[in-house]
Amino acid sequence: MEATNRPNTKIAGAGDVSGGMYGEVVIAGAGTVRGDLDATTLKIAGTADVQGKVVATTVKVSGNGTFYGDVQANEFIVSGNADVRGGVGAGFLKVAGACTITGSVNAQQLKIAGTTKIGGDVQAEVFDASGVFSVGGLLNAGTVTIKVYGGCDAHDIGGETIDVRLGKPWAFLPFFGDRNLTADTIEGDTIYLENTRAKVVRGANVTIGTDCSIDLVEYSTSLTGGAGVVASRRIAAGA
Amino acid sequence: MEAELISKKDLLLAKGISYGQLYRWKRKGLIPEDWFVRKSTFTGQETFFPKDKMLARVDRILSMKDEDISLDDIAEAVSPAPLPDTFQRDDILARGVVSAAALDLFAERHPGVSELRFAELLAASVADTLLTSGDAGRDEALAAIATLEEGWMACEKTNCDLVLLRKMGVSTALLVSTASELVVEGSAKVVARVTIPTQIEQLKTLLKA
Repeated sequence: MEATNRPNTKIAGAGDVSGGMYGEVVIAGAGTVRGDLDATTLKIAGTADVQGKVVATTVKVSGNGTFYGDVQANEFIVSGNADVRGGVGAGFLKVAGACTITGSVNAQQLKIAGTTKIGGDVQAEVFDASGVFSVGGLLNAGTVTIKVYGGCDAHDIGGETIDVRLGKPWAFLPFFGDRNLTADTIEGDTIYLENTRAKVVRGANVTIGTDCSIDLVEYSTSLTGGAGVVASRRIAAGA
Repeated sequence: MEAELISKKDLLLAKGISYGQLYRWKRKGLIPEDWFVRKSTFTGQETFFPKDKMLARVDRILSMKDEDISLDDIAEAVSPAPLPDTFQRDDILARGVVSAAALDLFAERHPGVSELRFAELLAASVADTLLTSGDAGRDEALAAIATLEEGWMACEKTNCDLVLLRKMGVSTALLVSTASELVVEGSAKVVARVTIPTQIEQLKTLLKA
């Protein structure tokens, strides 16, 4: 990646950027990227429509960004609004604003503090959410940490360590209406749940905390707590 | 002709692995996405796997783990993705990866070529399998090489099988997706069906040895 033959470009008013190789691309006004973009940095502070796919070291959206293709980045930070119609591959994906991803997400680390809606599956080593999120498919992460501040849902959750707790209320901000995590199945090695609605929870060491409603818990080593659990059974140790 | 399935729960019990391990392997691409079969049961949706393939794969991963091979390396070994390297004919022959007979067939199509790309090596290795098993004759093995070379681009992304059909002494080779069921007319016979991802796995094992 020779920085020398990668021109920088900036749109401060209204304009178009054609696809291609760039150094830093900044869209501070209103802009359209026509074609696939390969850039060192893409910053969207205004409003941008990106019509192709994006490959970049860093993508930052603090304004409004609509991406019609996939986004591949080492670092993808959304503090404004991002709408990705394709999938996302990222080393680190952070959403502090609002983000909608139609496809799937593959990330090393994913941090959600805002509102995030993902249509497909999520694969990450670390999934850390303290906002509101929805995952249409499987949320698969080594470590899943969820602070429930609003309505969170995933079709299924799987991983090694899964920790779901009610978020601490902020002094001046009221909670969003519904404060629950909803999932069909939750499977992991070590599981701690609060404020969770699930059909089946399976794991080795399972702890059920406050405000849960779970149809069935299957555990191999230990089950602690259990208020709100309809049925539980021990399965032979395999985990 | 549906392959026998094993539920996720039974698999974990049988092999003594944990949910966490299985999800990690899935993330690392050690288990193909299309082996996860979701079915409705009385407890709701459950995940099943094709039993024989899955048990073999888990055994392979566990034994490689015992040898302290990293998950990324295991992923490369079991993935059907082609290797970027090219291979010297003499080297392949000396190491016994593909037999001389199969390489000669390949040479017939590409005279004088001494360096094989992965796809070409794969084609030669399939021909080798067909010849060694006695399922195919010389011309049929040659047809298999030609079909694979031409069809490789199409099947690189999907799991496919090479099928050899014979009817009244006339044979033809074709590529079909692994999951598909073949119905052929009564007088025709499926002589051989080689699963390409399995072949690639074996080939990679031989190359590593």
